[in-house]
Amino acid sequence: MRLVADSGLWSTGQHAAPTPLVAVLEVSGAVLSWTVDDPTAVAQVAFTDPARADWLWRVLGEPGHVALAAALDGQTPDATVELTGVDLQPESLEPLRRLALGHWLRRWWPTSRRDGIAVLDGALLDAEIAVLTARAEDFFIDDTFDSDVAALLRPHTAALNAHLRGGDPRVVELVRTCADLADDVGVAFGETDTVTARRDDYALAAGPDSGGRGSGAIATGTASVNWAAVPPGVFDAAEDTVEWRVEAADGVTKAVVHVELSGSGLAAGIAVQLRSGFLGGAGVLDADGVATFHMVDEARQPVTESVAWDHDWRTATVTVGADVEESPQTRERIRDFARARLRAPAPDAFLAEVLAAESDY
Amino acid sequence: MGRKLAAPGLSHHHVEHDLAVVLARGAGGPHAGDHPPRFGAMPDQVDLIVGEQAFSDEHVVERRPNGEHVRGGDQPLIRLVRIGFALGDWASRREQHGGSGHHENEKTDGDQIVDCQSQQQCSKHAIRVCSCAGYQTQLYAERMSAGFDTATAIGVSQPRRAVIDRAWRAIGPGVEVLSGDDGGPLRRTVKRILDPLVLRLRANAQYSAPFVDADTAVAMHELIVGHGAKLRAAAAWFELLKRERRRLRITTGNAQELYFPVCFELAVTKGAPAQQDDGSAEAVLLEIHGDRDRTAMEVLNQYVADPAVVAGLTDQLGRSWRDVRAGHEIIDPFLAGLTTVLGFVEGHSAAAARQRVWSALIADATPYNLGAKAHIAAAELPWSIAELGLSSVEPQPAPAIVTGRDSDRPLNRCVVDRVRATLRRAMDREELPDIPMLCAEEVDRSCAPWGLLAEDKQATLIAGIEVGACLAPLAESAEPRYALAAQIQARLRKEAYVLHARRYLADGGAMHPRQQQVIDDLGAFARPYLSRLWARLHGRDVWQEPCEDLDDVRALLEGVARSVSLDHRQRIKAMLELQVAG
Repeated sequence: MRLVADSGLWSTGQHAAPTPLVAVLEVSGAVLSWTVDDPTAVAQVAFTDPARADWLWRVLGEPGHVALAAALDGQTPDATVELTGVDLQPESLEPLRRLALGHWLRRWWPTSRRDGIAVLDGALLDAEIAVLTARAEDFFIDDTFDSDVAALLRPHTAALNAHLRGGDPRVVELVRTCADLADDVGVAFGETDTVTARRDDYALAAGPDSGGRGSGAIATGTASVNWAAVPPGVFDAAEDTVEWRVEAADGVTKAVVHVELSGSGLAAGIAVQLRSGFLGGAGVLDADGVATFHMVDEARQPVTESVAWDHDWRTATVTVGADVEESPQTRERIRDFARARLRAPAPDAFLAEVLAAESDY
Repeated sequence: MGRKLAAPGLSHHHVEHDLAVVLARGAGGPHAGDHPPRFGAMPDQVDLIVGEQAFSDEHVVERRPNGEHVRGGDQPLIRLVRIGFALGDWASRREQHGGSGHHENEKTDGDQIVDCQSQQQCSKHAIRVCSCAGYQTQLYAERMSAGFDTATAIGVSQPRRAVIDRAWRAIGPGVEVLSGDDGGPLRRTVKRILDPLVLRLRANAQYSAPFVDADTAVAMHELIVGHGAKLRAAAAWFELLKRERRRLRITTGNAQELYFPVCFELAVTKGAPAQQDDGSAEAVLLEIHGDRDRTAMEVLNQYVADPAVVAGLTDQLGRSWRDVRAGHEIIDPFLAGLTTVLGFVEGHSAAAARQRVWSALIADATPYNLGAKAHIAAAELPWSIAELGLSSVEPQPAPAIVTGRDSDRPLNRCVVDRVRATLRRAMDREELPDIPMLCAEEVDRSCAPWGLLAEDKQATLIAGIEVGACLAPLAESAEPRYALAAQIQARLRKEAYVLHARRYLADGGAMHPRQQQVIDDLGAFARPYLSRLWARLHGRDVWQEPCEDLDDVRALLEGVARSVSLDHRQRIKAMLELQVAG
């Protein structure tokens, strides 16, 4: 095992994969990460505080833990440290990798009506993550970002109770396990009778063509949402789901941007920008995923209709959410990964994935 | 050979719940006893072992910290010493002080990890360590008492958690409810039962080292296995309490966290639960879930409902406030000293030197003077107490007795609110001072510089201000001027990365306007950081827990950053998940 200095911390090395493909888990004293679509990838460990990682012997063996602690003691992350004969034992990390994967699924699963990628049941996914977290509690001596079992269960007690009536024995078993867990961690899991199982898949609001590309448009185009720029559960995860149009009315130029929605998250308030050369404009989406805003020039003056007609809009870019770089190839890799898991559930599949795969038929 | 040294009895000290705390300090430098706090709080008098160890750097690969510390909880303390290390110096010093009536600290003897097979080669570019032959432990206590110069007892060092795990499994069946799926003890079994009640870390500091030698491991093993019957009974009690919890439809609180210590106590006092339910389980639950602090709170409320009492306290406050006056000493030496104590330290002698600097700093008048200036001439401070969020206005006004001007800011909190905080934190304490005394003392404390009586707490707050001002979890380019702050900043950056990798935060910014407030808060990290640090220091000030040990102080400064960061990140997460649930 080799430890290198990584932004002021000790780590086992940098990840090659871009962030959306990295599944992370924050345990006591370290952040573990894996490339999500590479089954052979080894865990990367970045130590936030090696001294608090009292679980290391479980994954390095006792001599390995002793050796690592000895080598890092009092050393500022700087020169490379080579630990001969000390290696991570992948099988001991497997429960943690699966937990990291679960957290990743919660946040990056590319639900898309357009691409036919089925939604995962959020309550069942969180329930299974909660169970795995409780089982991995040896790795959470401190409270960490990922150790909160109660927070995973609390929003779903009603939905999980409703699942009990569904009758699928796999679901019932998971929910029963969760009920015990909820009991222990102080989450009220009693029967609630007013519950209807919420189906939040494909909660599509306005259709994509509601505005039409119709007459009067000075320019139109499509763009894609950068996933890392927006919360999950709001937009359809296909490409080219952003349709924009520049139009003029009463002498002023405005842009209308429509983003295809999917999921239960709220689009309202998410920022949108359209830029093309020296012209630009910004607004926020409404609940239907539509934003309408005036275009201005570099002096922040309104763009007249004639300027708009003269402008070359082919370079226009639309940004939804924060302004981040993200390659379409990264998103395609994630879709490929999701499709493969739906096609043939992996050995490490979560029940929510299995059910989504079954519902595909 | 092999005299077991008496373990230090530290039960008169208190350990903060969420932080392991060093309970004793070396007395190489001046200590609090030389400089009694100005308001008559009892100074902490803990001198376990005196003297600096003059280890030759030639032999010591790395020692940290300087060897005089007893550690509680899970704070790690690892020392590497080469096998050729000569003990004469150490042993003679130990003998000098061994019979002084102070306790010997066995921990310092027990966990020296010795790298005998392969040396750490501290070359410029790489350190190579080989684990294959194992790390070995010198048992200083044994050799010392035998008076030998050479190693005679060597044992393999083991992670303490692994030792506990093995011992637990050796107990056999009957403790399943206290065990995880893999048969090892649950995290809370260790934290709430084994550490405090079986291994009794406060009294047996040697069991708290992150790595223990073979003898200590055997002792721990025997202790745990020896408690097998009690642990089985505790497990039976837990099962019973859980059943009762369900029957009584109690869903508040974490069952393990709340019931484990009680179950062990029941096992010790009553043995296994009776076959016939005698109602004791229900009684226990009702007691646990009853409002435990209500009584003390009610006494406080009644006390301060009396106008005469408030008038008396107000008089006292006026006098105390006037009594605080800034001296004219220059502050530069203090701030220069902070650069040392918050710096990076390599090697034992540097650690010892750093501790000496800290010991001098807590005896320095600067923190007192700065705090006194905050009362009248805040503009003369190197920072703005309003910007740091310590006070809503400058200069800091005298606090009220009953209602605060702005109860949000630590230094503006009213006296009664401060006492309430003490009562809330007093849950696990066996005895509290009586309410009138607590109020009178709090009046003096609230008037003291920084609202803290003891000078080591005041100095720690200044250190915290200097560290907190450097921290910016979302700023890529922040370059803290102190090594400790840089280390904390690196962690905060990693923790911010986790948010990013989880799609809670776009690279450095909000992805939803709802998050903006929390992100702005993260930008002003010093404010929540100092609020929390102040609250911890206030607690320590009330309970007279020292901040004299530098490693402990550094751990405190790190721990506060950790908990503030976690708190913020959970809020950022909640901001996004809220809207999904809605």
